[in-house]
Amino acid sequence: MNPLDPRFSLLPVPDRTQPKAAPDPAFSGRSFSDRLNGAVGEVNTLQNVADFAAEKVMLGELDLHEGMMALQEADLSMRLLVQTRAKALEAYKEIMHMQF
Amino acid sequence: MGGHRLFDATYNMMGRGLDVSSYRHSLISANVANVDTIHYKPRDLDFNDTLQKAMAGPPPREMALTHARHLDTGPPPDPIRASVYDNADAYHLDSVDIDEEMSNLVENNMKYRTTAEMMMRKMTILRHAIAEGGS
Repeated sequence: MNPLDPRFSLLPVPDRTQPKAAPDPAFSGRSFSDRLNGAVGEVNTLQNVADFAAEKVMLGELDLHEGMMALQEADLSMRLLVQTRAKALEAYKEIMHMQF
Repeated sequence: MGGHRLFDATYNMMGRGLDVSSYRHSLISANVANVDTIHYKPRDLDFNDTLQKAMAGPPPREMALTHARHLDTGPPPDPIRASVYDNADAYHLDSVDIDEEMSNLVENNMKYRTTAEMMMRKMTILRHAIAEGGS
């Protein structure tokens, strides 16, 4: 996510502007739970950013579109997380019902 | 309002903001209605100032105290305070500037609708999470 406004730097937004290094074969196997934890953390940050932006829009310190963009990002990231969780659970159940 | 974990501080702030906007709308409406009233002093409030005053202090009491042994959960909600301003035009008899009132009316209306829209979107996220993606 691009920081919408310099004032957002008050919040710990993960810096994803730097290009990712080439996948190191020694570390390419990041565990699923690490990835999931990171994703949940990012979604949480986006929710906090959206709340912060909404308050600033109410006080007239940010423009409306910035607040709406932050809310939309929070909404979509939450939807993606919920769907990912549903898919993961579905896969888990399928494996559970496998006959060996 | 306060005391719910499900509805966070931003939600409370939005609710108070809608209160303030709604109250400001009634003030502006009164000003417009009295555009021809002689010696009428138009009243208005500063949105940010009033909102910050409404947000400061302990959350208002949610239940009435009707018995001496009831637990006191906080003070009753403050009435919204409006600051009276006097912008009487020296060259006209009327003291209400209709252009300014209409401009304030539109601005306030937009603020109300914006806040309501943002609140709705926030609640949509919450509803989606509760329904596990169902709605």
